[in-house]
Amino acid sequence: MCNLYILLLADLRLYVVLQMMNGNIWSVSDPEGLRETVMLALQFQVQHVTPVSGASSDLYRLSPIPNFNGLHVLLVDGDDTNRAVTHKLLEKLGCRVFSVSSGIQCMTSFAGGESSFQLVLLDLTMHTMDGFEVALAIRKFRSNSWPPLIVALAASSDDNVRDRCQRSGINGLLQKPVTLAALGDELYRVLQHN
Amino acid sequence: MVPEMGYLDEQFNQLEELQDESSPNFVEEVVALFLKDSPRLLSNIEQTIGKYPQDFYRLDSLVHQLKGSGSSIGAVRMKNECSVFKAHCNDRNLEGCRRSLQKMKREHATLKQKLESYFQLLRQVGPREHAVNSRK
Repeated sequence: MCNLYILLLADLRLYVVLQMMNGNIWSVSDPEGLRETVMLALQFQVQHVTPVSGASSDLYRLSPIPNFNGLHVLLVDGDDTNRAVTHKLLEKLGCRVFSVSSGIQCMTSFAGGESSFQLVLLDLTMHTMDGFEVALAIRKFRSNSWPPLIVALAASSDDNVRDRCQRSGINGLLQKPVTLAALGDELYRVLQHN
Repeated sequence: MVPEMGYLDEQFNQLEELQDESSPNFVEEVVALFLKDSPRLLSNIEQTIGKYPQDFYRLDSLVHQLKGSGSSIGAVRMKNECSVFKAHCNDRNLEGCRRSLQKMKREHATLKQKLESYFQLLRQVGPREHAVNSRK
């Protein structure tokens, strides 16, 4: 039996490494030969396919991922791609997530009242309703439960943005693109402080 | 075939890390969302460039969107070209915007082709074993 490793570098280069039973290792990175190599690989038992970063530094966090134990989060983001990624990141952090794509839907979700959101993750670059307006509207919304915490997602986290966030009653700010580590850290920080 | 500079950065690795049993096609689904929206944005940008009087505010807003979704899937070359475009908007340099748009369209086409080949290859090699990170 042989072990086949297919390594995908972050820049989409593919290396195929075949380790024979006697320990010999063959590697192929020739694009022309790649198709033939992959066909050959199908005859062997594929053990492992691992994405490998092109950079030398370790891009994978070794510290554990925090778990927010079903924290009820409302995600507001008008971009389909970003919303899908952030939704998954939140789930990975153990959150219970409901996603909407506009400020209007966000307010409707609040008015719906059935489930209370503990935290709102709000993208500031929306088009139908300005993100800061949404934050202010959430703050004004009267309900029996505590007002939820609001964390904003923005392309920039400069002083201007931070100022406006503070004035809109926003508790936290994350710069895009969001990583699992940064999201976990900021949620933790905001929850600790409140 | 092998480019000098990578087309995808560590954000793409993160997508692969997020893929699991509950969403086994997550990466492909997210990429599909991006490839659905981005042509429309590029087309809107093209139309807006052609308008008179020039609307750099709208152009910037459109490219900002494209930059945002591109960067969340790790499309680093597209993201960088969007930054160049935004700088041209800031300078109100329409010709610069035009040139940048052509580059963005080329980058987009190449990225799309590479991603589609990648997913095709994964399907051939093994539907269950792809993109599993050994380091937990």
